[in-house]
Amino acid sequence: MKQSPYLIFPIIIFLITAYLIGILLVKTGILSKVTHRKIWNSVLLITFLVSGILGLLIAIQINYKLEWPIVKKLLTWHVDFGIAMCIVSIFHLIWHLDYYVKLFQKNQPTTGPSTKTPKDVNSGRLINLLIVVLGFFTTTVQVLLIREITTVFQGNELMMAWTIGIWMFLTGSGTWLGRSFYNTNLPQIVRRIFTLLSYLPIGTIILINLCKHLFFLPGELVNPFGFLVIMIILLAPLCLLAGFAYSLLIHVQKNNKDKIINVYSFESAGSLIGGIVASFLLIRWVSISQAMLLVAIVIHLVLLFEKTTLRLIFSVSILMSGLILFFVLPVDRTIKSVLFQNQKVLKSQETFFGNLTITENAGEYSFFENGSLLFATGDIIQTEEYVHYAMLQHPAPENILLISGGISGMLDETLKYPTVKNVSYVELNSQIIKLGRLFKPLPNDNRLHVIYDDGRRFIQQSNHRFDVIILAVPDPSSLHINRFYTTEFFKILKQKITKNGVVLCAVSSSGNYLGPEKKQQEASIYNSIKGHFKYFVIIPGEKDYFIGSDSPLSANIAELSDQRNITASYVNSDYMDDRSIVNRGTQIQEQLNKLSILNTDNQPIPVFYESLHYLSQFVGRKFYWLLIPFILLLSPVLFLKPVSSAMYITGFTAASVEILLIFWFQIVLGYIYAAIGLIFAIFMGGLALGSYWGSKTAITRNHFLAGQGLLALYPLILALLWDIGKISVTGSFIWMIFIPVLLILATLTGFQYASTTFIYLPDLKKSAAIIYSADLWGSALGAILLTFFMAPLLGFKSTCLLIAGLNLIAILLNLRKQNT
Amino acid sequence: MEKISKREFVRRTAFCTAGLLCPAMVSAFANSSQPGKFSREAYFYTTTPRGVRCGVCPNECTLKPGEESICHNRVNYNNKLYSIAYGNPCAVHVDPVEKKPLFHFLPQSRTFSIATAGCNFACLNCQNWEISQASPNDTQNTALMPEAVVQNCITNTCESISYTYSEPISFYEYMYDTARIAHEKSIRNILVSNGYMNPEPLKKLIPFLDAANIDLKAFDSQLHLKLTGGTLQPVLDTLLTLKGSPVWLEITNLVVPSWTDSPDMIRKMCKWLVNNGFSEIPLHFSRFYPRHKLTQLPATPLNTLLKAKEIASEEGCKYVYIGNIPGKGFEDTHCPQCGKLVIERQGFTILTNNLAEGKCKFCQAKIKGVWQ
Repeated sequence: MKQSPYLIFPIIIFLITAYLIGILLVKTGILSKVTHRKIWNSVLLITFLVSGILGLLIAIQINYKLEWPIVKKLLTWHVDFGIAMCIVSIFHLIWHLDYYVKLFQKNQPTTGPSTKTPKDVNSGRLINLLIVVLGFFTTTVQVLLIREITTVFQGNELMMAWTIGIWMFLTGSGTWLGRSFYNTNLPQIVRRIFTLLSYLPIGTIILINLCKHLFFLPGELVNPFGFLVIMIILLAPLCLLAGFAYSLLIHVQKNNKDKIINVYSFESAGSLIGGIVASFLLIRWVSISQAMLLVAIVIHLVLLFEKTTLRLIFSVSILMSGLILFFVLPVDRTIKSVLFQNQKVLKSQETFFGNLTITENAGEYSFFENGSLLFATGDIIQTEEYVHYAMLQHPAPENILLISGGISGMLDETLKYPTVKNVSYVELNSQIIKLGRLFKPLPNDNRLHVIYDDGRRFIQQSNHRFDVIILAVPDPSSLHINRFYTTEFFKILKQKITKNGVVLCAVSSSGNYLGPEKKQQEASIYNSIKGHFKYFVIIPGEKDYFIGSDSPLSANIAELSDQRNITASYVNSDYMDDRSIVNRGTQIQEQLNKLSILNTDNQPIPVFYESLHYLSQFVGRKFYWLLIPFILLLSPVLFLKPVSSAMYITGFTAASVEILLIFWFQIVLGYIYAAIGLIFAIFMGGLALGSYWGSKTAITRNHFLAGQGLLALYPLILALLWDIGKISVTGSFIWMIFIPVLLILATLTGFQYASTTFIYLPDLKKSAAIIYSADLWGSALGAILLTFFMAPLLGFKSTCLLIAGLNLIAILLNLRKQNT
Repeated sequence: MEKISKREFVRRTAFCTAGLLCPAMVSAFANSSQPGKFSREAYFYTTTPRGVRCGVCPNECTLKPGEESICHNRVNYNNKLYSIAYGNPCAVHVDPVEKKPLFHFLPQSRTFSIATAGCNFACLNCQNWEISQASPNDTQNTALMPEAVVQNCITNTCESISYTYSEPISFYEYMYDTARIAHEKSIRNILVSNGYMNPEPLKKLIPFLDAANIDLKAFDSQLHLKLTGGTLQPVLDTLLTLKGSPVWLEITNLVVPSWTDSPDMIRKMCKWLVNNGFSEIPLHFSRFYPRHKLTQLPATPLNTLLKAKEIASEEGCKYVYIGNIPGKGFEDTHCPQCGKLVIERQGFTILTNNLAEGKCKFCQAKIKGVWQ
């Protein structure tokens, strides 16, 4: 924060505090409302003039290339006053929102006095605003809280998917619980629930950290079942209440079909804003705890706008004090220190790709990404093995490509080879290097080139050929990482290496025994590489290293090391027992040869076995335990009727296809953080659009059936999309296909929400709530099933067929009902 | 088609059924004496009113018919206790003896290493958890009866057999029988164990044992229990028993950050060792690497290991080594009398050897160990 040139948060906090004090003074009668507004109008004018004049001066300076030393200072003032102006203009906008709303209303005079009573306008407008805020709140909190959970519980992808699943399941259940809620004083209940909701995220964060500290041992891998139970308990208050709030907002609407569907549209719009704000702004500038407090303050401000009560002002003051406390004192680092016992937390920062924490213990530095140990600076063995096992195979390596891991010391090892002319080091998360450099500097060598990009994307676009390619990426535990282990990827690598080129990748060691899950995982990778190279060897060590080349390879590392005279602390003839290495490598290879399983982009099977491998540490081979959470997720089907079951399948379709699309996008274009944000925004926008379209259509059963039919047809067309990625096409072409495809899915889902709601029950409000629950329950199941079962085991195309089949079942169920 | 009477129909049906049931019955009766091909009746157990009680380790599992022991390796079958991985190891490798680690026992020799599935501990940091926490029924095994183990050892020109990787106490019967045969053929036997064993089986095994490396995992009873699932005292008792026997003993202490890296605890442990006559027993401080359920801890920093070595030397331990980390001087043997370098080691290689007939070349002081 100290390096930030502009005072974004201090200005925001100061102005909001001043505004609240002003309101308080107006309420107590000390200040008149007119004077209060005059003051703020004056502030707006001053900020406008200062920012504007300074902006003009800067424009002159730039246009005419004038040398004004003061310009940097001018720029700071220009921006800071701009920030202040922006905040004050929001206050101004809130006072005059009626005017702007009317501008966009049909058949309404854009000028002149309003025909409605102020109270009516206020309540209708407020409800819509609250719906947007609810969407904004749930999405922001979801994005950030899942990050925090992942960091605290060293979450792997399986746990992340389960957290999202639990989240959606509980939120859906909350809405379902409120489906028939009725109370004469709904607005007051809404106000109270929103106040309570705003405190829950920060409370949940504190409890999450506390639970980890109390129930789990230091450094221990989290038991998946303990984790599930804790997550259900901790997330229940927040998610159930958020879901319940959705129902309440439906109930406070007038009994008008447009208004009821608008809840879904506005909520989606709020989610869109929330997703963007959380992913691009909050993560960049504030810690998660600070972001939670800011979101709580936003909710309070909206509530204050509706009705200013002393209680609310007191409540917002507490939140503001909390926020100031988090800014002034190192509260976040103190909380994180509890998680890393006996280690000194030097840095803990949110980056686009997750939380990055750097700790120090007895002079060695450890890097944790999302709470999981990425690497430690003292780990000489692994660092040397990765580099020398590959480099020793090549007679004179000149051009080296290192994907990830360089900062751990691998670059230093690579540069030990005198023939090396160029080392390209690709790292996705630039912050690993930027922050890491403070503690572990990169070698100062002009042969080294650092590239911040997705490794697969870089290789696909690169025109260079390399002598040695080292893939130091983590185990293939997610669809995203598995892209570095598929047969298609190795085919690309083959094209990017020189004649004697060597490719090395590694997975965690099988040790003295190759277990069944590990065997399947390694066999799929082994078969995927082996097919592309004439020679192949497995070298067991701290990891199981897989090396492929078109030139002969050797596992006699001690011998190779002696021949090359490279000074290494560990990879040398003193430590390398060639006989053991060759024997063990051959043993592994013999076992893998028995399996013909392949890892492809279409069917990322190691992801499934990686999950089983993790689970087997806790349940042995009794994987039937997994059925319990699945039964829980499937349980809504038991009491859903054919129509609402159709929405359950729609939710399932939307969630699973969205993940499939992101997965396809990452394979074709690479992992681009901004793209993920944009995909989310397009999806939410599509939902809002589809539901709005549905609300304006005179829905009949045929509309509903047609919508479901299109959803059944959609995955079939999607299966064809898969092959487009194989053709060499430009990035912009992919975007041109991708955006409409995603938008169609989201719009269809939104439309189905409206159509299902209209035909389900005569009581539209109850119908809307139940259908929303079914949508979320289905999405929960889809998110989990796709990531860990359908995509890895069935593959992309078969999954598409399955989803199409499910939608057909939904149609048949409803046709049957119609006939009977 | 020929018409048959009701009686004939019943008779034929009965015959057919009997015919079909026969193979099933034969197979059922054929195996009824023991639970499987690779099982042997356990050597140490007592039949109690609550079931059979295993006597090989302090867990002393009492099992009802059909139940499996904590170590996954023993079952109650018809009220008899059986070890179910006899002659059926899941890991068979040839290793340098230094890997066990044993530094004062036949240096630079090779050892034929075997393990079956199962362990009486459940260490959070186990590097062999895929076999130690599994039942032999769930692992992929190789048929290798004791005679075959000895034969393989000879074929692979190994000087010893190591019972290692998982926990040999859990495959006691297999280890005992193999060790007995190997002993007859002058092949040495090495026990690599957590030492969580009852005195009686240990005493029975000692005559056939030549060396042992016992893992002293933590010197705090509660911590030991939390980390491993077993208590500390039986391990200390095993150490004392082995020290009083002709078996060559070395001790390993894995230094796990946040768990067993406290200097106070290390000092307490070294004091106990010295006070109980272990000062000349080699002590290996081993570097922890993130494994199994402790994957979120970084490896032990070198400075922590150096500090542990310093503490042990201060307390009077004469042969202290640092393992699992490359570097000069961590694995060297110095003469406790003249302080000079006797054996300079690097990994599995001896770079300098100033030892002659088990004595320091410089001052003729005896360096304890089994050198030939």
